[in-house]
Amino acid sequence: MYQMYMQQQELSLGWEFFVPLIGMVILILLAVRIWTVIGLGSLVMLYTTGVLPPTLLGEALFDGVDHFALIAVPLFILTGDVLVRTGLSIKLLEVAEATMGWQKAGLGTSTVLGCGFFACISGSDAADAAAISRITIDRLVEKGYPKGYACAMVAAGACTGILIPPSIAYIIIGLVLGISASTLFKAAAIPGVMILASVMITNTIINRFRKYEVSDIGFNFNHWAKTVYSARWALLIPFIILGGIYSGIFTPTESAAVAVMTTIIIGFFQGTLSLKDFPEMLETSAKVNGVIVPIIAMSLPLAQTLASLQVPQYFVQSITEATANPYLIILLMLTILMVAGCIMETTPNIVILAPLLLPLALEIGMNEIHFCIFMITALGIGFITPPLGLNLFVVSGVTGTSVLAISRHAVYFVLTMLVIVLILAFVPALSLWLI
Amino acid sequence: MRLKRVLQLIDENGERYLLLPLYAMIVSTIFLEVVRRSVFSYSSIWAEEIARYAFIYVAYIGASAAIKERAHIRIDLILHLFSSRTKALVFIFGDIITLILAALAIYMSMESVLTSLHFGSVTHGLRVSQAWFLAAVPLGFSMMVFRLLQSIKRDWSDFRAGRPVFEGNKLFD
Repeated sequence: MYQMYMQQQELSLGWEFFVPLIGMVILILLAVRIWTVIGLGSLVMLYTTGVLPPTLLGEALFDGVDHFALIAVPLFILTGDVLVRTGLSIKLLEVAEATMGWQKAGLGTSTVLGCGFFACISGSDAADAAAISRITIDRLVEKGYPKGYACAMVAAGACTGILIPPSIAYIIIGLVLGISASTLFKAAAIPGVMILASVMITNTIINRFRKYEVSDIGFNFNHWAKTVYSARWALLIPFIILGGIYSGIFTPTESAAVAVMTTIIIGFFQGTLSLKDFPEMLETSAKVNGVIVPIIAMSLPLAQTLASLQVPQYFVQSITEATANPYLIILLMLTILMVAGCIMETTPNIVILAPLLLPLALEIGMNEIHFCIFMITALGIGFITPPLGLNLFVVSGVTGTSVLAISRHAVYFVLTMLVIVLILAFVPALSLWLI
Repeated sequence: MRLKRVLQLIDENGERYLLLPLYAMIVSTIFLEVVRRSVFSYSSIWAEEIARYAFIYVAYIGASAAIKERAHIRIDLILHLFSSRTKALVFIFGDIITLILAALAIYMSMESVLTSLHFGSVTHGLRVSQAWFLAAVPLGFSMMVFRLLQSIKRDWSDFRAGRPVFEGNKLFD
């Protein structure tokens, strides 16, 4: 389909495209809210180019976000929050520790595994980073890890929040490109676990050189079984979410609602949750959602305008003219995504870059699902890349360690995650095997 | 004095009060729908509609709460370069720009509400006037306008008095 468009037509973009674009860049640099910039940019571009009626924006504010799949976004944040408040998240960490504590770098590995468990419930990396760092950093420091390193490790492990399903990022990219979130969740399982494993392995290797901790706990099956049994209610939640989605019983949105309901019921039965907790929890989840939704609503008319102006084709053409080597193009996309991931949050990156880069990926023979996995994983690295990695800031906010001190140690994790992303980019089977 | 107390409560908790029934509606309708489908093999066409429309209300009310807390995403590189007083001006500038867009959004979305009222369109499942749900957008943006005006007023008086400007609460603390 894209080849049809590509038949060497003269594409040209004039001031009516570039003036609004430059205006947007200036406003973004002046720290104006991203959704405002995108909204004003689309509106002005709709007027100057005249390719589509400007009323598009008014309609997109309702129709653009009127999707059942999007409801999963606030719900997957809420499940994470309820889990923390009921103390079930501590149970998950206990299971992680009983499972991996026997390793030489036992506590570190367990903490990362805990991040992975939490990622099976929450769909947000920042929620993951906040929840796990609040519980684990002090213990890691006690065990002998430098504080900055411990923070960096949790921040890296928490990237799996959006890489291991359920994930807000996959829901949004699915919405933007028209792919079902369930399919993406299936595809994301192996890549997500690979990233998690890479963080664990990096920690084990570094630990071997620096000897931060030497765990002397052996693996005790009775203890493990006891811990798992006492955490049975906490383990029920990921079982419901992932089991429901993968078996096809639930859609992601339904699984989120069922998980919220189950966690609340468990919380009430155990007496760890009271009605007083609700207004604050709901407001947190609604706020995170309220930050994401306007960006999606405002970006859709912009994406449509760009498509009508054939900007994606223009972009593909100018790059394929320079090089046709698929390896170079993948490296180029990776660079774009990593830079974007460092300077901006995932949601605007997905809605703006996905429609722009997908034609390029299809052009070099990438499958669209493979592209989604590649894109989200590459953006995921941005969470722990200085200067603006979101997870670094969240962990720094929770623990009071400076972002600079954390970033210094985050470099190792960035490098190993980069290796995994390259493997994922060049071996499509890892993303496509499970679907 | 009574009125003042009520207004203060709304200012502090307005968004929270509205969110509680909306969330309850989303979670319980979807949950009951799943139970009904798996136990009674029956599903309705209106449940999904309730959840979707409640979600849009939640989304824009949440956006208003996020303005109150200054939680919306922005690239704040430039802010690190400035003194607190200049920061206040940058924040006020951003708020005014957002105010303009919010006003335009209210105008544009009211148009769809009025069109829907004019033609009497109803939703597919519930057969209720579509205007009830379309109104989520102008309502949400009106709340945002209100929060923006509050924020501009606060920042301006901080600027005048030379107090450090409110830089927002973190989304995950």
